Amino acid sequence: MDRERERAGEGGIDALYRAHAPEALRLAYLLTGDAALAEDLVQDAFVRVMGRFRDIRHRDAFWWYLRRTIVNLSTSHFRRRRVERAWLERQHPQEAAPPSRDLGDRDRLRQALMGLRPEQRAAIVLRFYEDLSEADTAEALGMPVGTVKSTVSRGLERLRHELPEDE
Amino acid sequence: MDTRLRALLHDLSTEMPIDVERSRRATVRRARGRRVVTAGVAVAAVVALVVVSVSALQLVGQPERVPAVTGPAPAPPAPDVTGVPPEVAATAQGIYDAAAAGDVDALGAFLDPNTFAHDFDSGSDPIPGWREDPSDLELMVAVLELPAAAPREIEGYGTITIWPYLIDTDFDTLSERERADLARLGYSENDVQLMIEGGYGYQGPRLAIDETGLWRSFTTVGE
Repeated sequence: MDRERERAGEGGIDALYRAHAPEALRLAYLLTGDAALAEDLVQDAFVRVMGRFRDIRHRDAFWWYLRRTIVNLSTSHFRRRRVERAWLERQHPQEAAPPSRDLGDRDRLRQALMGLRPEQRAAIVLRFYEDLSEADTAEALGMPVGTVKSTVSRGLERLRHELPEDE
Repeated sequence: MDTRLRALLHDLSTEMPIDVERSRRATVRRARGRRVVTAGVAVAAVVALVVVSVSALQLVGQPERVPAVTGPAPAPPAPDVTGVPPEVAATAQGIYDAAAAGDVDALGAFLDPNTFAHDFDSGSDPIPGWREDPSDLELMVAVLELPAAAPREIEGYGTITIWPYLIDTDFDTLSERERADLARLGYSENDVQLMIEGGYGYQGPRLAIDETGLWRSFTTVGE
């Protein structure tokens, strides 16, 4: 019996949550830019994956399934509810405003990330935060590797514009 | 930029307040509830199977009824290889025959354990797992009885044919045929509704064969 299987016993759901929640919450925060929403997404993702955990043969892949579910939930959240548009409208009332030089890198990155399309943001976060290969990113996002390459490339281009190198 | 972006992303992620204990109780309670519901569905399925079996046994003692002939005899069960390249079709037929016969060892002839991906676990040999729990074999049969999606180029894999065609289905405009095929795979109306609301389309089992006829993957979990 492997480690995750032991953790996933009825008494072990607690341990499984404790083990994966911090990483999951940070990932969800990067994908949503909102701590409360990130908590909700992680909770939903964890419940969904646990509901099917008995059917998952490779128990050590729990994080893989959890991450994929978080990304899916995040992407569909923004796609369906158009929260992103509302967020952008709140953040950028004047659309053409250039990136503020007064903001710190962290603030500028947050704004720049939220300015990306959900799929671009997910691809960038998986590639450069989770350090996944292009192939693994493609599998996590359910898209061809070529699409991941172009999605990441366009996302990076936009981030470069929003995050100029320090002079 | 890449190194700087990595550092900035890790820095930004530290903004997320991590209070696992605060959310743990509610999440674990929901997760346990979900597992109970899932188990309940499985029990219900077993009960339904028993009821059907008992009904069938009861019918044995009844006078034989001659079924009305309303058309040609139904075709014997077979994989749907319409429009599939010959090498791919041959492998699909082999997998189908082996899975339908419950012959786990025969399935091994169609895959390379060094490259095969099972439930996203690349390079894993699925045969020992299937020998221990052959329930996936029924899914393989059900998946292969549906049409395949159009072959597609996947970098690093060549041209891949994937069953079922539902992977390319737009869930916002599901047809009756597509709903019926999802039901054949065991999805309830509620499951289908969740797939629609989730916005990420078909999340069910899928089977992929490359252009050389090598079986490349079988995935049962989509979430």
